[in-house]
Amino acid sequence: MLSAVLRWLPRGGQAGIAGEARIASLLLWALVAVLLLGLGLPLLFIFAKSVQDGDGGFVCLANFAQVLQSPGLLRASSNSLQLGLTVTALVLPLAFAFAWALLRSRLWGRGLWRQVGLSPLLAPSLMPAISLVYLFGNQGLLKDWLHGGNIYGFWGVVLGELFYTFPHALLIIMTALSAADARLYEAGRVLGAGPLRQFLTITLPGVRYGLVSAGLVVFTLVLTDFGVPKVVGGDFNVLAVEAFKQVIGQQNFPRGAVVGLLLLLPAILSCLVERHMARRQQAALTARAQPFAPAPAWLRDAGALLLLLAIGLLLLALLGVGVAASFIKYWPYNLDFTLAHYQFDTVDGGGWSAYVNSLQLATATAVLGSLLVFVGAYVCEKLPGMALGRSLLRFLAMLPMAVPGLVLGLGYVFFFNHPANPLHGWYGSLGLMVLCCIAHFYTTAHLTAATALKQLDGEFEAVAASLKVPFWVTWWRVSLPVCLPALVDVARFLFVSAMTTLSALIFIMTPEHSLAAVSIITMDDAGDTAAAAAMATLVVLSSAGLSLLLSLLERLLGRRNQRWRKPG
Amino acid sequence: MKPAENGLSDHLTMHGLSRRFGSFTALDAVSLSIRKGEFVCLLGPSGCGKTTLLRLIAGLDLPDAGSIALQARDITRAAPAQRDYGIVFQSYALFPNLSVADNIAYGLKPRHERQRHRLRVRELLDMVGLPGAEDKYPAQLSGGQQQRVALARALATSPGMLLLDEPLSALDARVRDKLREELKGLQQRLGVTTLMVTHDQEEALAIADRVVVMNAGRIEQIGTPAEIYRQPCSRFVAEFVGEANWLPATACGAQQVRVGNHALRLEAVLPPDPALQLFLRPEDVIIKPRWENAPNTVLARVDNISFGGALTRIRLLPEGMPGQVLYAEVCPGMLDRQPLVPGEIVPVELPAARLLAFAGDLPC
Repeated sequence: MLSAVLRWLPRGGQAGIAGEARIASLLLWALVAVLLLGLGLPLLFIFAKSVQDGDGGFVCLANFAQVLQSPGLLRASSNSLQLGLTVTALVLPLAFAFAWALLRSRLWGRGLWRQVGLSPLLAPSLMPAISLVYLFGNQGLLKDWLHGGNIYGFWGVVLGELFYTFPHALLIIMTALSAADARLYEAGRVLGAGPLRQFLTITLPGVRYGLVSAGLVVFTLVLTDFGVPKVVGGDFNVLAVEAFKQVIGQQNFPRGAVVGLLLLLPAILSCLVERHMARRQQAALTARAQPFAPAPAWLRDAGALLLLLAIGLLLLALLGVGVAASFIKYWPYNLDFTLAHYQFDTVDGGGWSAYVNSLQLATATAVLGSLLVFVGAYVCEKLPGMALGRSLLRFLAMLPMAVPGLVLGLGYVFFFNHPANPLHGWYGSLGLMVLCCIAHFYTTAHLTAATALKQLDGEFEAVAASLKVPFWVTWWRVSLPVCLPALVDVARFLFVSAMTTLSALIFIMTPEHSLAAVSIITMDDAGDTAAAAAMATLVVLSSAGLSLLLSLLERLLGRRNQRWRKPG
Repeated sequence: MKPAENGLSDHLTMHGLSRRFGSFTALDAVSLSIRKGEFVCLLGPSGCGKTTLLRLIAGLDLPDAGSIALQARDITRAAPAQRDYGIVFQSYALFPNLSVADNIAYGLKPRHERQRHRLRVRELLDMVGLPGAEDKYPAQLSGGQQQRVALARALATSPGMLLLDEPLSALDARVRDKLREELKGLQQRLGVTTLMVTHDQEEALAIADRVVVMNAGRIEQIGTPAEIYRQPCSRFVAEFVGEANWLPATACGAQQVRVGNHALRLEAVLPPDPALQLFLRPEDVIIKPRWENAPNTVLARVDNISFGGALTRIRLLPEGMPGQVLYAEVCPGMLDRQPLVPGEIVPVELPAARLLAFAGDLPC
């Protein structure tokens, strides 16, 4: 498709020079329009809906008052808050310990352990919940451990959310920990600081920013996650599930909008805190920093191995039990192997067609999303002039970070399902879901692409312009090939995210166009836990398979690129 | 288009160019003409506006006021591609994923005429002294070689003008001197109008036909290297270019000044200010073999002698000028007397033809 576009564009020459600036601004405003459609307008409609009654009349803050007076919603809010704080407090030390063991030891196979630590990313948040049901549910394998207690409720949700948020915290903390300056540690050692003092005065201050940032991300994720509380929450009601009940169950749109806005609060708060900190944060690594390399110390490495084993096995258990159970006839009474749960004919939720829909959605999101993100980041970072449009595009690119999927999904319901919207017919289609996924995951993808592009010499475009070569040729011949690793990362991230996400899409899918992650909920609701586990397993396998495939592709392309990357 | 005195026409003319960034004025009404085939250096400290001026000429930035004309065609607001120049940056900006040949051929059109491009690339590589480097990648080349490739790429399309943005600053001293010489030779052979930005005054004086000294967004002086060095027309130029002795003085007559308890004569005209600073290059200080009662001659004690290869640098303390230090640079072979020893008193002449006077207090 891309080459077709390139062929259509005028080839350098006379038409190109005059039209180049026009094409650049056309591109910029087209991108702004796409993001406004997929992000800005739906969000505006949430605000509008929250101050209207069921028939569209303006009621000012009556909906908010109503929500504040309803005991159920207040309890859900306090539950959500309690849950968010507990999970954040638990996941930060765990993720920090794991990251420390990975980056500050000399253990063999750290790359493998890293993959284990990130493995929850491959699964929808429902997977740990289903595994928990298999382990501690009414017919759970380890039910006796609970001494007559019950996994359904607060602690079940906490466990599930720990699994779900762990890789997100791990990624951020690993980034912070890896930016260590060996010279500081040398100075500390020379001045007589022991390992503990070095840890307290050098390591911890160095990752302070990363820890706070990870805490904010985890808190927001927990508050807006919908999958885990839906499956193992039992009577423990949280805001995210409440929003779903109000909109999909009771069709009470205004109240859903108010709940959605409540969920927007922690995310906006996080963003503000983060921005404030970023301004105070100085560059952790100066150009002259020496990369830190841990010295050999077998005692420390043994401790690190124990840490990795304990946490890694827990993660693998919560992922593996669900996978294993999907191949077992009747848990836990008949443990024979079977593929019967993969014949989804007898259960609700769409079965294999839902899976195929998800694959299509994820592929389209990955392909179109990476293209859009890379063009967008290029326009933002590399093209001259158009200051207003570029800052608008940058703002829209950073906005999704502050918008939980659930809130975005609500916005889509209000905007695209509005009878007066000319795009009304698009509602429930694959195209709209692709747009929603791209908008939802835009920030991370944009930052990855922008970071890669920023590392390119800022003078490439100036040189190309002096040689009368239009910018799209330089984009195609230089920027894109050099940024290929980042492009593959973006594609992988978008595919896996689209495959596993639930929060936004559950509001805009229709039963005819079911999706794998949503069908897991449907099947679990209907009591077909084994089928739900089977579908979750399919999602995990597809995500893992594509990641593997892209890694291979990257290595293959890398070999071709080696010639220019390696000096000498 | 007005013909210049040497018969060559103006290639590029700038008139009243101004550029502000917020409250900072990077360029303040700058006017300049560059003749065809001329090598012009923009020289100044960082922040003086020289790079801003280059970016305006390249079309990478637009002026707030003023105009630029290329051979009488107004290009003030034209896109970079409509301006006909090649550019070399300090960072070289070579495309890392393209081979040397592809880098050089990047701007050659039409793209499918590979055979013709191959010949042109070979010709350019021979010209910049890198024959046979076609299939290498930028990461496999040294800094000096990358600079040559960048130059070949800028010249590939035979542009009417070559813009160089600190092209030699990232190289080590030996390579820099060699490349500087080659660059000048190449420029003379091709006759391409060249504008180079540099903060290195030695480089500017060595390479340019004309030097434009800039300070705080304004042009201080335009002239040949010898004019800039010998007759700096402002205090800034005198301080920025080369080494100099500065002697505080007071005017006492049409061409007479008083320094300490000596009266000195100048051939230059004095500025109206009563407080003056005398300017004298160290190599213009003459150490005489024996005392004779001549004008502008004082006695000085040799304080220190430092060997500097071709030139010996002598730190002198002139008598009757308390606290004043005078540096002299002499060629050891040309010193018509016994070797100097520290502590010795020698007669020193401050030639009236070489002394210049500027208004104001001590230089900082």
